[in-house]
Amino acid sequence: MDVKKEVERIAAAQRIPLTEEEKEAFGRQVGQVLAAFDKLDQVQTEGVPPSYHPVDIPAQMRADEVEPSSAPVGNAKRVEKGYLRGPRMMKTA
Amino acid sequence: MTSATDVLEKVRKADADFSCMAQIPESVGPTANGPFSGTFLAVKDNLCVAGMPAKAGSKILEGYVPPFTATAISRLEAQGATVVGKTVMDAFGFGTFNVNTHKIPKNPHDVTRAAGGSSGGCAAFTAATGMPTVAESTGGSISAPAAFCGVVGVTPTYGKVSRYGLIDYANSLDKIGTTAATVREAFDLLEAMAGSDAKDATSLQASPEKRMLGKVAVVTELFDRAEPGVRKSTMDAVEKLKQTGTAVEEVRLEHIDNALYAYYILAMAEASTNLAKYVGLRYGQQPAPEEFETYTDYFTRVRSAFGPEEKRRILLGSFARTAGYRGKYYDKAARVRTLVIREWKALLEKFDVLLMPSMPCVAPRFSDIEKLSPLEHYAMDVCTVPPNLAGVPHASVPAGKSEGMPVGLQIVGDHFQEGIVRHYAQLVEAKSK
Repeated sequence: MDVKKEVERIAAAQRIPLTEEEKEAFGRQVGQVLAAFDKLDQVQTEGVPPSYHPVDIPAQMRADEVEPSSAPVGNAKRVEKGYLRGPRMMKTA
Repeated sequence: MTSATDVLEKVRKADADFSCMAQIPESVGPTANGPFSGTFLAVKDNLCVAGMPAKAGSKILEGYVPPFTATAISRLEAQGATVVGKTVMDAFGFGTFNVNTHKIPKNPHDVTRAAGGSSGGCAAFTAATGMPTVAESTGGSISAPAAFCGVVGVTPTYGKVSRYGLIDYANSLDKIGTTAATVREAFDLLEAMAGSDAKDATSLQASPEKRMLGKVAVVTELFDRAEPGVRKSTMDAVEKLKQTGTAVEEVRLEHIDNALYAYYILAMAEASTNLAKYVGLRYGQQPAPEEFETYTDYFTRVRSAFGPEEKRRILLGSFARTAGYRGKYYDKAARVRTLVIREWKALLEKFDVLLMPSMPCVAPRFSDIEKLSPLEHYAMDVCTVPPNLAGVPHASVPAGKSEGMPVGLQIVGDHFQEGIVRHYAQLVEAKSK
């Protein structure tokens, strides 16, 4: 695997701009960290279920009712008719 | 009784000396009457307090003013506590030394050394003023700075305190706790903000308390891995604990390093999804969209505000859950987490608590931190990550000094057995005086 290329691919997908220097440094550092993570390959986990939380979280149900809240758009600078106004989705002709 | 004006002056002085505050209000209003009337506290900057800017240590949240207050804080305010400011932190909690941000706190015991991370502002604030804080830990962000700054730091069971109003790092790991000058105050504040909350489906009511066995264990390997001075101080604290009639045995853990790797995979994977929401639409930096040709240009410009560690964790976390690698990294780490939880739960059936140094070293100098690679940086969390991954409660309690710097002993109990952790923390505290 070419780690630097993977770093560039993921950075583009995540919309994170990287300088050439960062591409080199992150490529090297990510390679070192992944090499450490690879040590988990030696751990026997066959038949072991995954834990997505450290404790059991019982499902909590509530009535499906809309409640007032200012939080979703409370800090947005551009709100029109209750919707967020974002950038263009494509270039104009 | 101390006036709010005097307290705010003390807070400003602490900030001038140790750069520990992200925000100090001009004044504080009257508070409710309750058991915490007269208690002034600071809050880590990833917890929302209505009307008080919150950046969670990141430039991307510049300008964000929460319109609501975190449940943990509103519960304390309703019981009389007064918030006197927000404390600095590693961006989004990404760090062990609180250097991954634009305002770096200094250790009140030696300003050439780090306060620890990521709740470094909290621990430095408590060390400087004697006042408590509401802090937060994902993989050791309360124990590490508490140990480095010589204060008490308590991290509860996952789910004991509602995360509503917390700017999250990793949802399955984040826990809201405290720093304080005494064990009593740290645990009293924790209990006052605990309990399930309809606004956080992962918040839980505590289980019944277990009967104490009078028997504890030291995790030998973690003492062996510590610097000699840290090992000596923490072992001395264990010896003093024996004098109280507590039986002490030695145990070994199979999954110490595996826990470290599994933790970083899961924490980064969760962080990379949480940080996907910072695209300049709802929070913080929001440049005028008309100035950009496409949404990609816009999002890329906004996300250039992330610092190096934020970028690194987004890259690693995205990689760990990307098609083709998810099974090898993310799924594997979630299964290793099960083994870690089983290992700790099995030991905590036999012993009241497990003991280990909170950190393998004393607070390092800033000049030494600069030399660490990211991997070496992550490896410093070897003592704090396993209990955080298992979601078990723990306290870091001051246990002597090494090189003139504070050392912490970490006391780890079973899920929802904060009362037992508190009992042993008070014994260690009493014997350390």
